[in-house]
Amino acid sequence: MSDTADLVSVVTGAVRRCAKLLEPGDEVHPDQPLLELGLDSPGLVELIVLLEEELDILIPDDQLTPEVFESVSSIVRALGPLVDGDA
Amino acid sequence: MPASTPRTRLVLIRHAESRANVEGVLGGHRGCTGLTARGREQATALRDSLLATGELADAEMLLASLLPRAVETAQLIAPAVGNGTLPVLQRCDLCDVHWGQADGSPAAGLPEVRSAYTTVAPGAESWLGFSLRSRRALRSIARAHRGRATVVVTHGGVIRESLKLFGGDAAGQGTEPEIRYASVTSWTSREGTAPWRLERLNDLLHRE
Repeated sequence: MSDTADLVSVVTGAVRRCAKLLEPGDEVHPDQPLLELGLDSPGLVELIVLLEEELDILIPDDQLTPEVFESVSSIVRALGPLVDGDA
Repeated sequence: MPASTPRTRLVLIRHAESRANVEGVLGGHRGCTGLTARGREQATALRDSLLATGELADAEMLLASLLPRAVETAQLIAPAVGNGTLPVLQRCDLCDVHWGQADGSPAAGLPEVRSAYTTVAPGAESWLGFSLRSRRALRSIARAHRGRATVVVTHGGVIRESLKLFGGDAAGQGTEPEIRYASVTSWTSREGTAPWRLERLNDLLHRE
């Protein structure tokens, strides 16, 4: 997957499945903090597992940081090179 | 009529009572010193129950974490697994939390963990790290042994993660059961992927 828009779509979809406070139809802004969307610790693990499944990647330990999982945008920035096989 | 797909079965067994559990120390690679006498009795009783029912005779693989309490438990139940001569294959990704510099210290008095990313000591694993590592291990074992029965001797935390990974929302929401010593939790799947069916949870078989 090389198209950033596709990656944004996958990450947003995964966030929708894991963030507790989101209702169907709620908008997710790419820069919105995931904490505000109700992504708690169990949800965070689910999100990472889901992203690894859907993108067929293994997220390295040094990327498991609050900065990477702050928002859809920050996740896309961190995972882009992994998805493209550049990392 | 096409032949039916063989079931994938993942049988998760918690180790029996260990010295580290009884003494209240963090039993990692350094701190775990194996089973108590009571623990060996528990594992032996489990083996006898499994031999009587024959329910693990179809298993093709016996896995355990690297920690002595899991390895000893696996060795004690091995005669009841598969043809009774399966080696115990050890995997570090089935271990309990890696405690880093706190390994072997008293469990009481650990610093409070403030977030999923925080660790209790230098070199230790965060809650997020442990949770992910456990789920990745279970997922990779399920995929690698699709269509077969695999026995995994591991730790309560890893077994609780299986509830969230395989059980989906229903099993994962708000359930943090205390997994009992030498208990059996068993999952089956048609394809080695979701949906999974929980056949046994925290089942002692041999006691009560």
